[in-house]
Amino acid sequence: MDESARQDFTEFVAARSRQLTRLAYVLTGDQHAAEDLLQNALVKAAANWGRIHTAPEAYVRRIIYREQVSWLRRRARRRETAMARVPEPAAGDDTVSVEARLALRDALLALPPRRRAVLVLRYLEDLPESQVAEILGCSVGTVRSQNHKAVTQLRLALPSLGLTNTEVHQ
Amino acid sequence: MSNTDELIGGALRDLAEQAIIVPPAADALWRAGQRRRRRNVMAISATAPGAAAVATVLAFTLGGGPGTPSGHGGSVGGATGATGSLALSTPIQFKQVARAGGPRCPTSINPMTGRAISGASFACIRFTGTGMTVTRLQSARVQRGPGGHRYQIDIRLTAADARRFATLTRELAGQHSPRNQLAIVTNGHVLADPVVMAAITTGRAAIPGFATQPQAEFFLATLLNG
Repeated sequence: MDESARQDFTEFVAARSRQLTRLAYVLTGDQHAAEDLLQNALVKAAANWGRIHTAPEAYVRRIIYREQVSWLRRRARRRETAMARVPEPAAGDDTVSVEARLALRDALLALPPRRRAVLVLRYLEDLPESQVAEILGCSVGTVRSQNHKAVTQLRLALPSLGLTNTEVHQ
Repeated sequence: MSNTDELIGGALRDLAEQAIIVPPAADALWRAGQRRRRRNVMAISATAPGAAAVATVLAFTLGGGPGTPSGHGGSVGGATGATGSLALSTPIQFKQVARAGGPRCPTSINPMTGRAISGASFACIRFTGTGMTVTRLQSARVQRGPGGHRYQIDIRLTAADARRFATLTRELAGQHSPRNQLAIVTNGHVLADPVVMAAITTGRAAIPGFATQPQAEFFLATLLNG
């Protein structure tokens, strides 16, 4: 075994596991599922370390996203997250109430995995749609349609927030 | 940035902050990864004359509750290991079940996943004094289970342990439930408690029930390397 490679991997895990756990949690909405998702991705990274050691995080992130949206994984998933609660409208206030943000979070968790992944890449990671498509292994058109459907679903669940569909930036 | 961008981005950031950060066991993950990488170059024999008998007799489901042996699943193909025997850092114990479905157990850690198991949902299994402990395996291998959608660990005992295992299973096979059940225990946690229907003389067994290959490899790496 290459000891320096093992050490590199250990340092990578120590340095990046916090952010990667958060990413997995946002995608799954479940602590245990997030840990499993990250663990599986890291095992694959370790198996291919010689090939990916120069940019391991991109590889691990790609695995996490693709595992999460893969058909087999979706099919195996038994549990569905709770649906959104309808928030009280924040009348006369430009700021979004805590309740509304919680409701939005619940609505995000109710999105199908692929739509949620697109939103995470689009709004949390702030990536251009071409890169979103590359990471998810789909076309740019699919990214656009998934983004549109996701925002529409959120808007229907939470009409008071005034969400609008915007073009995904290039 | 639009209001929509801010709202969704903010909610996603809120969600991310709720994650509980549990540092992964990097060493174990590394070993699991290396085992995965080497999997296809290990010397594995496909000859398994006793596999069918093992499948019938020692088949169990890890997901099932204590005292509920499934009787289906099982080993497919053989698992004669690479070379030599493998030392286990975590011994595997085979224990005769005395009573299943007893009082609730205290919360413990599931060695399969590393997660806490609530004592409220699992009953304790009581053992007789009959059993054996295995600290070495002739071989161990992760492979797809029957049906191809789950994974299992095929194990082969050393020759000496296989003889003890044959004696143990022969003794249990003639007894009434639950004393004909053989619990497989690591770190104080029952992985499974299959019914033994006949003596197992091949020294082979299978631990099925893993949802993913990395999960099975991780568990095997934990058994072998701690």
